[in-house]
Amino acid sequence: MAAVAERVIPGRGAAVSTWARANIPLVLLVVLVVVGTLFIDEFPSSDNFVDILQSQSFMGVAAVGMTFVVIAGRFVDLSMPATIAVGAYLALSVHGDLWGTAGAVALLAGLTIGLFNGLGVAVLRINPVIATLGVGSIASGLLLNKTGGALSRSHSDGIANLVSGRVAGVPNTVIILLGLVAAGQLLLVYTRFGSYLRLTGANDEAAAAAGVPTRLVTIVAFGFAGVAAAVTGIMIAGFADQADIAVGTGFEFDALIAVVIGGTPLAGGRCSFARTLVGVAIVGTMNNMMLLLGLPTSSQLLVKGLVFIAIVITDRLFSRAEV
Amino acid sequence: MLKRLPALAEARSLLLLGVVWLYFDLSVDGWFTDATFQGLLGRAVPIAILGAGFTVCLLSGRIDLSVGANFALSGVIFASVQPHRGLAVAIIAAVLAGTVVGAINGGLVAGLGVDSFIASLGTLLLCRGIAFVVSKGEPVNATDLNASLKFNESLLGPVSYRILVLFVVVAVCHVFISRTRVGRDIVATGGDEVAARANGVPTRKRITVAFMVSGTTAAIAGATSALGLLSGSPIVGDQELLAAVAAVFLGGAALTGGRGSVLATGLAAVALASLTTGMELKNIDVSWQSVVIGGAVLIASAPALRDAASRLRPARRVGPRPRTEGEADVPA
Repeated sequence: MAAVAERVIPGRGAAVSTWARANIPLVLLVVLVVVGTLFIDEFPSSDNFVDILQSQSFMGVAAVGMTFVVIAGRFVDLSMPATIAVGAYLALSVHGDLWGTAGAVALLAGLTIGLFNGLGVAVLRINPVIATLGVGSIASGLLLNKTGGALSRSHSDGIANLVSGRVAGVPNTVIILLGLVAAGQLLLVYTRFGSYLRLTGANDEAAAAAGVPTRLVTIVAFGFAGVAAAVTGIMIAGFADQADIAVGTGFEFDALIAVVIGGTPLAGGRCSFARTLVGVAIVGTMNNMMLLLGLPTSSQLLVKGLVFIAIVITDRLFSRAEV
Repeated sequence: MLKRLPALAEARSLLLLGVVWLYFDLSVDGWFTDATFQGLLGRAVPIAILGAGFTVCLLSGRIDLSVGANFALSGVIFASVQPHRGLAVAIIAAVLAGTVVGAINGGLVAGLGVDSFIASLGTLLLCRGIAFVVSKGEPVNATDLNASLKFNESLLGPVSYRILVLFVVVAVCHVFISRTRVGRDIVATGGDEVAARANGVPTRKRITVAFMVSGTTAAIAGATSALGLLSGSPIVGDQELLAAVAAVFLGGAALTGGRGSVLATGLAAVALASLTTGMELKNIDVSWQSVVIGGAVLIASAPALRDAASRLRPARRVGPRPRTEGEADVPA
């Protein structure tokens, strides 16, 4: 198919617009912040900004995990709510001398669930959406079986202290989030796994033909997502000192929206964890603004749905123009 | 080939159903009774109806993940409208909402070329969002108690009007897919979209129709469920979606499209409902149902397992066949 250039010579404005196009999320964030500052009284205070990051850090960690899956071209991990709930439950219920035991068990559980997702997608070749829905259903069924639907309460202060503290005024949860974003970015850019991840996402078959172990990459990507979800669960458990089986509800879509709004295309390939961070900031700002505007929680979901569809359409229109 | 395959799928589903029923007849007292079957078929209603629509959409090569949220939304709409405008208007409003959702999906997928998984995730959020706004986050109660009782009343043995809807929807969808021009176009689109278009099939229109069918059936399921329970809730639908997906794949439909049978899906739905009903009768904890359905989804939808299974089937004959396919009653 011959590709005919639609524009022959780029004008001067093209440089700016190209930058803007590539950095739409950042621009959007700035616009949101400006609008918020101008129109909402309680918005522009350092307390509020810290609050935004703080409240979104849980979802942010999940988004970091989701980013691995999206970069690998595997769309989404819909088992996250279940994994988060499992992580929270284990963090609260496992007895051990050190808080580390509960945390470690929770992380291991997250990894296991993630590996099952990965195996389903990579080895059994099940569609990621269906596979993660199925695995998630199994995980939440098992959790329900174990807890009987009851609330889990914490037995020790270890995790709570870790999660609720602050260092130099910055909440620990935010530090954890930033740390994971940095780790993810380093992994992506400086390791072979990172290149494999991007190649698999860009073109699965070509990567496999070129010798990339795409199946292993997929399994590891889902494994990371599972661990991230477990971390989210641990953080929530530490923060709230209790958790029921529904703690994870809605995180998967928020995380996906954050990843996509940050500019990582759903088709995979192009990507960066920093973009996800921007996406998290945007979603957080939107949530915050909705809250400050007094929008009832029941309407927030609708707004998110509209935003998601808008992103999807925009993503589609842009990728069309590039072809 | 196309004629023979559905019969195979339906036979498989029937076999599955038979095995499940046999197992429970042997291990549970009073399996084949009106009471048990009323519960069993009642459970099967949303799964089969959602599954039927899902199958139609899948046959076109597209997937509609929004059916669960659509189910919830139409239940909420029905329960909200009925006290103010009556039964008929409530049902029409609820079903129409589902059709509109289907049209939106069709527009995104066929019109803009958005991947159907992603597009329907978006409409899923949209439906949930609207359901929450309309219901203010709480279950909504309908008020026509008489209609609800009548709806659930047994007409013939275990079958009530509500269960009749199951049969009607599955039958209509099956006939639509197998015997109408539009239905066959949909299957052709799913089988080989490029070839279908080359043969003059208006694939984009057909895909939109397929989504409207899955949206409408999801809404029918939601409205009838709300009528039966006299209440609509914004948070339901996820379990029903999962069970419907399991039924669709157990019924032999292909994820890539072009292959599948509404009838087989319906039978598989009844089989799944029988499984969960039987589990409850055996006092197995309800939580295991999610595990079983999740496992069924994984096993039923794994292409790798299917490939392995097809390798176990006897090899195809090479050379001239002694009889044409479909003539099963020629003595060997």
